[in-house]
Amino acid sequence: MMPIDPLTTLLRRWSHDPAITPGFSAGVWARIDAARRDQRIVIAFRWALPLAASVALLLGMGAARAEVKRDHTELMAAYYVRTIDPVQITGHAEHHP
Amino acid sequence: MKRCALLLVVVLAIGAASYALTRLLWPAPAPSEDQMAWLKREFALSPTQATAIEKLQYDYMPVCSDHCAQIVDARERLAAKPDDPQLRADILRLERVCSDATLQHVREIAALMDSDQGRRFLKLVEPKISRHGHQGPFDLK
Repeated sequence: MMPIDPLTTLLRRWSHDPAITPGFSAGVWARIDAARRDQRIVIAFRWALPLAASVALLLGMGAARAEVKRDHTELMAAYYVRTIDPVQITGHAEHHP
Repeated sequence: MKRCALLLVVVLAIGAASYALTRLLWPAPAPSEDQMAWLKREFALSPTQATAIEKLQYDYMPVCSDHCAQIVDARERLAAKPDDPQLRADILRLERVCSDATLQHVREIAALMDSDQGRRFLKLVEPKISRHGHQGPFDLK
């Protein structure tokens, strides 16, 4: 007959009854909700980046096109006036009415 | 916050790059475009308006040529007598008359356009017409 190990006896008798922490359940749900919110932010960011990039692309192109057109209009208007304004015509020694 | 900053940087970089590339690669319209074609396109002229403006331009040509000839003649006379104050005053008066005639001409053209387009046309061309009202007659007292 084997002698009974006192440690084994002690372990068999041992039981753990943790005291319930106040607000434990609420804390768990709060952490779950926070994780869900983080996930929503990540998903929103994934959409926001291509959307904002597309808008920036279109705005950049649009601004450049508008500026090219404005420059051309100014250039043509100046050229037009130079052909009908005698003071400028004689100053520039050219005449193209 | 970090994500927002990153988003902003990316968006600004894309916007700036698309602007620069468009300016670099998109061809500008030819500056030698026919003036009547430009007027028609820029100010959305109807065929009737275009015809009327073309006629006005045609009628203004001899007036413009006459003014040019008078200015050239006066400048030649001044070149022969550079110290003659009367000739200088004559040139200024002549240039003022020519500028007024040009202003009158562009206003007549604008009157033939739709009102919004006419206003835009005047806003664009009037500041480019030489004006001499603010100048004194050189060094005359």
